[in-house]
Amino acid sequence: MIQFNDVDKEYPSELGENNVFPALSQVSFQLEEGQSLGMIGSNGAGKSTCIRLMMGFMKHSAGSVAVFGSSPHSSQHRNIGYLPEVTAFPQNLKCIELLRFAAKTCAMPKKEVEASIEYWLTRLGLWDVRFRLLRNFSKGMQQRASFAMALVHDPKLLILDEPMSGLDPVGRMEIVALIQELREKGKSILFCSHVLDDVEKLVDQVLILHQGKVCFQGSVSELCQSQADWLVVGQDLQQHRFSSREELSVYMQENADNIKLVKHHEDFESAFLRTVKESVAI
Amino acid sequence: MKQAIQCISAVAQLTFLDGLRKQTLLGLIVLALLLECSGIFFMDFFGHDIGRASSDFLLSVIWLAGLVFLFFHAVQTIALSEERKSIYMILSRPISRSQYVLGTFIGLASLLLILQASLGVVAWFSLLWIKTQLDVQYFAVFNHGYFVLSLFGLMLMQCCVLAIIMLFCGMLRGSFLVLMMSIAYYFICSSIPVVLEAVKQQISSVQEGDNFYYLLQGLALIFPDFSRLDFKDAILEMNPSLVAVDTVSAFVLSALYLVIVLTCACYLYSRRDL
Repeated sequence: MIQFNDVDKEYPSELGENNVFPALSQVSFQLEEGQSLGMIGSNGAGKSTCIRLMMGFMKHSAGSVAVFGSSPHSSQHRNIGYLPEVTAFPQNLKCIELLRFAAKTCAMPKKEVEASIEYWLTRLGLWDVRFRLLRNFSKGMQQRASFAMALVHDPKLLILDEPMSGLDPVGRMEIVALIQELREKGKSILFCSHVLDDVEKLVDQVLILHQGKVCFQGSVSELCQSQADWLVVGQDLQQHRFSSREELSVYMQENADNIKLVKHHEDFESAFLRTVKESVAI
Repeated sequence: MKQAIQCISAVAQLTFLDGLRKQTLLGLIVLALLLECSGIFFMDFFGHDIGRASSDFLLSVIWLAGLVFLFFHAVQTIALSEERKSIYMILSRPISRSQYVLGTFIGLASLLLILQASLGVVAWFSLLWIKTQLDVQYFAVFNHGYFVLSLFGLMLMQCCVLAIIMLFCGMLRGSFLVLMMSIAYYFICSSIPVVLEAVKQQISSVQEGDNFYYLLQGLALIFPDFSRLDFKDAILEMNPSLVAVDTVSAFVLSALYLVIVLTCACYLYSRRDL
């Protein structure tokens, strides 16, 4: 569905400066059909730049970007649902007009348009406010409206940039449930978020970016297993940690029959932070 | 093709509704109506040629309202949509950059048309009323056809300026820069015919075949002479001296200029990074 091969992207320098800013450097990854990929990284890592390249909003400096097997083009957006990081609409539209615009541009049959709009507005809790102007929506409501716009035309690929932004805890739960449902329906999902708990729950594969470079691509379990510790668990089922090998050796001699070793996996956040730290060290 | 037209009309509708509800139009119409009404009340201050003065004043109000709409609402709509990233919302649909440019142009031109038409109707009624209040010697003739032609000319001029605004938005980043360039463009267009005439009269060494003369002629192609679409004088003349061929050619050339500028704007938008 999405293929990045050794992609570089440089932003031109500001007036008076000589250097270009390398936003992405040799970035390679792919998203297969039916897969969900979580793209995580610190601020300025290059996540939004990757998304803009996929959507055709900008052109890459080197390498190749392919979406649905060809270069990004506006005609592909018929099968893409995009939720931008910053929800920005013409503020004087009504919610229902926004969705009708979205449906009209995707050449949806007229019979399906109203049914789809009603379904998604109801599902996202906006049916009662469909005739309200978007400038009177709260941040969370605008985020939901943006989500509805991304889903109204039943796309195959979803690109969600910070989908939980601005939502209250109940709203977040609902969106997480919705994304899980979309995964089960076989949609391909590219998901950017700073909330690692959500990424861990919702994706098959994780891509970690830092300063425009790929630090890791693989499953969450691979990331967490890659640096696992061994823990000694005693008869009292307490985990013991030792400050030196000598202390460990003495304990094991004294309790040889009553201990077992357990492989301890890092939690996702720790694994992410360690991966980023290692990439900086390199 | 059908899908392309559908996308263009969707963007045009979006732009139109957003502008209509921004109440910019309403504010401009109210302001222009107040100015037009003031023209009616103060016509007695004109010593002579009241008909011509009133007609010039009313059409100038329409022209000014259109310029205010273009420089403030149109520039904001196009340039700020990029600054605020709302352009991503539109281009995340299967809409090409060219369709976006054309749709936005049509939406804004529709708003301009409503502005011109509503002010034009009020101006027409005002002139009719003024005519009834005056003796024939002060206001003998009122050519309704040429009045409508003047409004068309104004509309086409302003559509050309709108196309230039779209071109500048494709070239530049920042609404303020676009605004300054658009205003500068308008002033240059207004000034070049005057400069050209002055140069011809005052500098005897400038003749056809001279490089400086060609330079001015070349500039006149880039910065068109809007006065060719100004038919104000014909409204009140008994036998207007307009030549049909010149009038038609002025409209055709302006339409051609509009198409060329919009094509360049579409090309620039399709090439730039957002």
